[in-house]
Amino acid sequence: MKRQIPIILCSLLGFCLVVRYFIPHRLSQDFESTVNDWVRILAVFAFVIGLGSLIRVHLRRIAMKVSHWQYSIVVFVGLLLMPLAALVDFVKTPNQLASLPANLTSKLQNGPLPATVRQALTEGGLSLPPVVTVESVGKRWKIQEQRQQFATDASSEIITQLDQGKIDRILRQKFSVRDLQLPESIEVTVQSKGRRWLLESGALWYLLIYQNQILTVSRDTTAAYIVGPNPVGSGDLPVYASRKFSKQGSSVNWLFLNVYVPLDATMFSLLAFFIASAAYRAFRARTMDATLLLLAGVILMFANAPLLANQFWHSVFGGLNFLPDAFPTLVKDWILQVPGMAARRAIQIGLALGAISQSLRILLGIDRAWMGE
Amino acid sequence: MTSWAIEPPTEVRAVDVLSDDGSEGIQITWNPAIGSTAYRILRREAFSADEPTEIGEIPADQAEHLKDGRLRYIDQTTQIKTAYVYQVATSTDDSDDVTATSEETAIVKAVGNLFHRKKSWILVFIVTFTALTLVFIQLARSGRKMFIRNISALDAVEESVGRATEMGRPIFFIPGLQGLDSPATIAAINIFESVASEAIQDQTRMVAPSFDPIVMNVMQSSLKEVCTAAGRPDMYSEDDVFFVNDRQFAYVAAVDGMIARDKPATVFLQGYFYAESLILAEVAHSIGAIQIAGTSSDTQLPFFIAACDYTLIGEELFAAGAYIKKDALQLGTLKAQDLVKLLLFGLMVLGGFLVVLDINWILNLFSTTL
Repeated sequence: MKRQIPIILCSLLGFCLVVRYFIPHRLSQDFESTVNDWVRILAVFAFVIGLGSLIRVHLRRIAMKVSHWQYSIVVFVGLLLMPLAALVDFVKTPNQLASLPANLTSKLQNGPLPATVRQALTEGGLSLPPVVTVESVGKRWKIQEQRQQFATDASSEIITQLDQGKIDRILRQKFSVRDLQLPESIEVTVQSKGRRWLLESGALWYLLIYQNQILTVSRDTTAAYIVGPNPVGSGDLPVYASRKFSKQGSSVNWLFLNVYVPLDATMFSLLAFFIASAAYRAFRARTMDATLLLLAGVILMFANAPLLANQFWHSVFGGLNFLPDAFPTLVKDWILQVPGMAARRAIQIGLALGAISQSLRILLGIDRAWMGE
Repeated sequence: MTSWAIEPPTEVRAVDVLSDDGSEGIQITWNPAIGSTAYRILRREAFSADEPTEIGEIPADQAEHLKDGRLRYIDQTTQIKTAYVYQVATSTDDSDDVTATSEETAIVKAVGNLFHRKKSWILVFIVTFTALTLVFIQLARSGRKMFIRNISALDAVEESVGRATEMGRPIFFIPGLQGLDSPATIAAINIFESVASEAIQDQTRMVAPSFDPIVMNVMQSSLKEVCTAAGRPDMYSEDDVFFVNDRQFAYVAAVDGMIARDKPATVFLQGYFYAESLILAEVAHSIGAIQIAGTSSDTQLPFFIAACDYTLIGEELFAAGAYIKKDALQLGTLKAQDLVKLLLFGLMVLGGFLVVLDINWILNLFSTTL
């Protein structure tokens, strides 16, 4: 019974979520949202268990003085330093929720944010970027930064890029893409937060949608402010949430920017060297497959290097009129879009079928690995 | 200045937008009126005495044309379950501001729907897949032998565990950077069980640094069960499966450090990986470990293929559990998967021929936009 109940619960909930996928009704969305909330709540408890594991393992390493036990001290230094710094910052300048004065709407009109509104917002403890514009969209106001693109006429290219960023169909469907604010950087990931949708690019926030209304969120490192929508007849501009982040210059911010970020970047930058060493091994033309890989790799590198694809190509083959100017780029695109894409799609189809099959095994109770069984 | 009489739009119809939760609004369609330069959409609540108000205006040359030549406007400012009636008025550039307003439409409400029509084919696909899976499970239960081709990466598991035993070094198992909600992670845990089973029998230590605390818990439970089943409960140590960090490069730094210091004989990289895949694989290669990788991330597969000794490609990752355990029921689901793949392949070939003949229905079947 101890094992059967989790399996029954898993199957039941799994099938409900599959059925939910085909029901667009709001009740069905609410159900999914509730399930997601529970998942997040459980994840918090799981994190406590993870932290316990981390502390136990490293305490034991220190106590038993196993080889390289000194590294475990570094773990504890890092583990304690950031919360302590945050505590000190909080005691010095506690976070504040903004309180806005009423009757701001009458001062709003399309265009730059009026000085009076800016003053009211900043008095509420919000940090605004220097250039903020206001736009009325239907019954609501949208406050946005000028540097962000407003994708009113989003091209199919942008939509595709968002697809790659796992943008959810509901987001596209509900807001028809035209309401999306896109960041300049196109590496966008979308996370479902129940009914909220957060477009994230790196550590910065760009857009939050709450209860089918678009709200704006700053990507300021010092504060997040979420403003609107403006209810009809309401005299004020509601702020749903605002939160001061740690001030620039605070110890947490300093540690994050000067310790964590450089260490993170260092690890990531190792990738460049590892790509070279892995490519050296993979490109040794011992077999026909490896030779083809080498050939494709060389063509791609040639076409991607401006010096080779432009200056070198034109100086050597410039006289050959029957070849187009962008010949290296055309060959590169063909390799990527025809044989490369064919192989990639074959793998993707196989992966999708494999994932569905795996999910069916779990729902039918055949695969119980998720229980540690 | 001369003005001409202008005809109002005819056959104005308003219907609820289908396959939505009600928030998509109401679709208004009408026949274009000759001479009109713009259309104004008027709306009022059905059971009120209010005058209709304008909710939108579109120039005639920018109005959305449907295939049957009618024009369309979608009112997204509706309230769910509120009854409305609509009218469409035409206007011209004439200075006399000549307008003509259509008849009112029937009463319409925006409501949530119970089925997403554009997902019909997905439903058909899932029902077919499920039915085939159940058929093959039944066949497997009846004792029918299921053939599955050799997967070299999985055949190498025994060899890699044996090597670790001979060298007296641990085996590292890295279960990817996603949680238990990812099929790839569950597939990785399946492989972990099988590898641990071999390793425990050979009295070789398994080490699994985890990115996700829930995955860590499941793997601890899995390892404990394997040790108990092998009659070696003393081989189980909670400290061998532990949580490291949930930040990508902090996790990589820690795991790379452990690999460099502990020098495992074999490193399994199974699950879903991001940019860290190559960093982990290359560090493992640098210490001379056998690497057996598998990921459902198609962007990271080339890195694993280039850097690792063995790689599970594509759906091989999901087939691994069934392959190693030789569980008839799980093998049955693989056969169903193969059959669906064959069907899809047949549809692609058929679609290729039909598209050449300018018959595109099959193309549209696969390109449904949700």
